[in-house]
Amino acid sequence: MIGLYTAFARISFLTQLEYRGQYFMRMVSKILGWSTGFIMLMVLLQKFQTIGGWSIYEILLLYAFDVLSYSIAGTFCMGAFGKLPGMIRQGELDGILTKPVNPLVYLVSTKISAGYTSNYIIALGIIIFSLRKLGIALDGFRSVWLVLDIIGASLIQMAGFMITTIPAFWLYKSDGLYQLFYKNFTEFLKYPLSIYNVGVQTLLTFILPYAFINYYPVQYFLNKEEGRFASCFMFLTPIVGILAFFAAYLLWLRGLRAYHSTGS
Amino acid sequence: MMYMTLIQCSFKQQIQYKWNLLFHIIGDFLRIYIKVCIWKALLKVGKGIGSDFKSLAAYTVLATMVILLTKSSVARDLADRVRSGMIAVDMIRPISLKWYFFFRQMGENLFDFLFEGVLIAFLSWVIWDLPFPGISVILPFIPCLLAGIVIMFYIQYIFGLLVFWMKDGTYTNMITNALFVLFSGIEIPLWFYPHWLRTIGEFLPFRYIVHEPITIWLGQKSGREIAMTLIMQGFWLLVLYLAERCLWSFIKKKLEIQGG
Repeated sequence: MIGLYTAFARISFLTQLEYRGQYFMRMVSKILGWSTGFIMLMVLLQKFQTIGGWSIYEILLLYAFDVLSYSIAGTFCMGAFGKLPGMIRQGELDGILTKPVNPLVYLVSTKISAGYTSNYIIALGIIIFSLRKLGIALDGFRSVWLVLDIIGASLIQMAGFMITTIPAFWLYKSDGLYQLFYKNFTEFLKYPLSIYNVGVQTLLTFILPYAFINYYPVQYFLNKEEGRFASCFMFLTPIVGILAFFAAYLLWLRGLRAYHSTGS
Repeated sequence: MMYMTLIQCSFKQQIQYKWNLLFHIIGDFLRIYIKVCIWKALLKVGKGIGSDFKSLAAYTVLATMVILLTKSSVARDLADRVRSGMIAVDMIRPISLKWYFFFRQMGENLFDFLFEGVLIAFLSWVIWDLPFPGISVILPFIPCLLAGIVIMFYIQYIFGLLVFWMKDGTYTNMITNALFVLFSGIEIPLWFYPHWLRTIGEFLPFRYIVHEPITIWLGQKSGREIAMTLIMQGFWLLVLYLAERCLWSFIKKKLEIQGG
């Protein structure tokens, strides 16, 4: 069964690589998009050296955690959930429901995006580079934990993606939700959470737990204990990730149950 | 008159999406809030910043207004029209394609500015208690801002015309956007830029869209400098106008050959 899904994913990955020119252009434009954000961050950092008590490499680590987990989530979710409202409106989802496989897995594996590969490499490069500059060695436990954190963070990103787009089952149009509650709120993650006021910190910890994507887990590697909330939060990322993803999955199931084809 | 009708039409279209408008207002305000928090954090450490909190906050809010007034989907629209062949009809319309796009976009942007921008600006001005400049500053600010908007439109339009070769509008759009972010000062005031990056920006038109009008508003320019800025804007408008004319006549020739 799993073999079948990987075959789906592989095919959709390869079809995208087929059009070399387009794939290349998409890669370049993605790199351009990220690198302007990165260059702006570097402009600020070279001028001030530190933001809210975090040094250049510490901020870069925050940045790379965000980019890496977003790219992993985007690989799986951008095609499937980015286009979900459109698919619902045009009744394209019907086709998926008739397949004798789990609809979510089918949807995700047939719509996997290949355009994020450059981001993995860049983000991983930044993580390794910053850790080395900070003199932090990745010994056995640390490297395992790093992987677990990235998985947890990616799950949170995916949950954000899903929870803000699934309401399209009821609303038919949910671009605004996605833009605000996912895109805008994750913009806070570029900088340490402590520079914002308590309301924002609470919101991003307990209600939209995006702070677990980078702010809390990174503190473990940096030996920091910051924020008004208990220092054990730095270990919670994998758990928060699983919980958030589970909540998103439940919402997906409810959405499917509520789904009436628009019938066109 | 024809153009006013265009503005009116896009106004009516926009009113349809009330919820989207609310989400946009919150989203844009959050973005300003994030920036303001960064400036606060940086000022706390404090050494060598050389500018005060209020001008940085005002800079951020004004930059958001410029975004609202200059965003444009002309590259994507052009791509759609080229692909669907609509462009042939557009060419025989009694209204120039360029100005058709310009006024339709202005209608949309003006709507966003009035219903979103003004509210955001008002809130920010109250919350952070920002000062208002005198009339002697606002008077040159307005033409400078307007010239900036037209410069931005010309850049987007020229890049949009490249779709005749690129076949897809998204990439050309991304390139203009990247250059705009890097060299206009939309994210970070140019006075914080390292010397080399600033120097590159000196030779490009992007700074006249955001950075220059805002520094006029902040009262950082003398009368002579303001005059220089306006002249430079005129120069860039002329360059962009000529570039667009050349490109357009070239495309027209090519299209005739293709279209038969």
